[in-house]
Amino acid sequence: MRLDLLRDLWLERRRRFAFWCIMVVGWSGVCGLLFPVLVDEIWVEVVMDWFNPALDLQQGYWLVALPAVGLPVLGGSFAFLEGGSLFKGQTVRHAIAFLLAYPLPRWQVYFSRLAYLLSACFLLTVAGYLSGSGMILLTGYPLPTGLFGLLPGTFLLILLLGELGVLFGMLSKSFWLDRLAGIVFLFLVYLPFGMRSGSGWVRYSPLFYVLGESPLMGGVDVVNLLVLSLSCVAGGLAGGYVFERLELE
Amino acid sequence: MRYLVLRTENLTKEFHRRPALCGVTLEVDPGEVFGLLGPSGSGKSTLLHILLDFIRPSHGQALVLGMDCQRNGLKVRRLVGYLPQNLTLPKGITAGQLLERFAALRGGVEMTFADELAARFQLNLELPCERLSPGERRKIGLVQAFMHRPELILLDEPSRDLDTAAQRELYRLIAEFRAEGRSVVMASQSISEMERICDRVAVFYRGRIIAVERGAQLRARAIRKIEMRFANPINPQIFMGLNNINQLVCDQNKVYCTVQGDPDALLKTATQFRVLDIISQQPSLEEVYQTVYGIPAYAT
Repeated sequence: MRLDLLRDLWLERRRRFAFWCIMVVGWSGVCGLLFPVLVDEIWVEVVMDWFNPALDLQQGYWLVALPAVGLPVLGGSFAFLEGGSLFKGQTVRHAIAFLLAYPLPRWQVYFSRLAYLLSACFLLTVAGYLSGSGMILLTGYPLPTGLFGLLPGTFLLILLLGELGVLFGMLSKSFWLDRLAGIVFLFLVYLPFGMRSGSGWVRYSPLFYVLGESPLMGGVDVVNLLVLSLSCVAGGLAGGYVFERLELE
Repeated sequence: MRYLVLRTENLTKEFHRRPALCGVTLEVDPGEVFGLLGPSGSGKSTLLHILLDFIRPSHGQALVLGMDCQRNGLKVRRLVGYLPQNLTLPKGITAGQLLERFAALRGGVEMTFADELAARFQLNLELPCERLSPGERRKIGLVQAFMHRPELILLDEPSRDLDTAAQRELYRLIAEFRAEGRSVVMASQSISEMERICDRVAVFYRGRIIAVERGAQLRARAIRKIEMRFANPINPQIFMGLNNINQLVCDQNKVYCTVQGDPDALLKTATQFRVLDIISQQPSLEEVYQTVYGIPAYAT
């Protein structure tokens, strides 16, 4: 990986990142401010009834504890779109082809881009968590136990969505098709969360692997994190394999 | 076996079953300026992209500086300079900083030579990249392609967007590199450019090479559209006897015609009368393809 390429990517994309960062920080901040109200059981039940009366209290709690759920959605959207835009479009392809006219191996160019995606996802996750938890602390309410234990899982989930965006960016020629696919995918990721935890479908949600069934009580689930980490490694390598064979027309 | 800077054998590339390059075989000698002439979409850039391993051929093989361009891509690209057709520059840095970045990526570049090249092209290195005109962007592309004194330089439409002075400088630079034994392969749609600086030219049509001409041959076969205005009405019969005149039209004191090759006889005949004006135009590529290679205009 070349640090100069990574630096150039950050310089080039800093405004886009700042926009998404403001969105995530704002969202998490507002949710942190409202946290004492949201965790009130009465409010939780109101939202649960509206969303899905079949939910158990723990799931309902997570639906309203929006920073935890909202961060992967916003962060995941950012990662998917950003991952795609790192390799898609005529201008981007021309820029990559021009770099490859220099004596640089393809893997260096690919991993520099992946490192940018990884660092952007990490910073976005940390910014969201700091904003949310900071606001909770400002309200004088104690931080939920195990909140920061979710950070690695959320980050890995966002990164995985970013890698999926990278693959779409390289393989799909249509901007709209992959955006649609991204939205459908994000929807599918979170849909099982609206079902009963006993349902078999819930296991198809990557969020399940991050949070487990009782996230705040259980802290970090090492096995689930390992599954997610391996998926990220596999996603990164799959992207590298595709990029190695990518035709830069 | 003689050493060749570039050798392709039966190079074929298909995109989604549509052929972009069909069985291209060519050889470029050291110290040669070789042109790839053809309309847009005729396969010139595709060939350059294969040589740089941006895309892989469907069939055939390409050797650059004696090395397989796929297996030894990294080594090849270390010794080759490339100017792309479309150069995307980053924002927020100056032209000078950008050249330093290119030099760092390349490694082993003498910045004094890069600065010298920038000065020759009258490129203001203090300007931010986003404020550069298309011509100045092209100059940056040229400087980065030449700055490491490569053995082989691949140029895709090098004179596009350049002003006349910069074009002249480019031709001088190419001549200097040729004199040092370095080779240049350039793709262009400009027949006059090819005539002027190339030793040999491969003429592309729909992914195939239909002819490889020497620069002098191209000049001899060159077609010009001539328009002459005389002080008095003239008798068109006097031009009809000339061998290399076609499409002759006389209108009172004006004569329109096309001349293939040397216009000497036409000019000598015309000077028997008082000439008020003479305009010579290069025909379009389509017209050249039609007249010289017998390819209908619509087909290009």
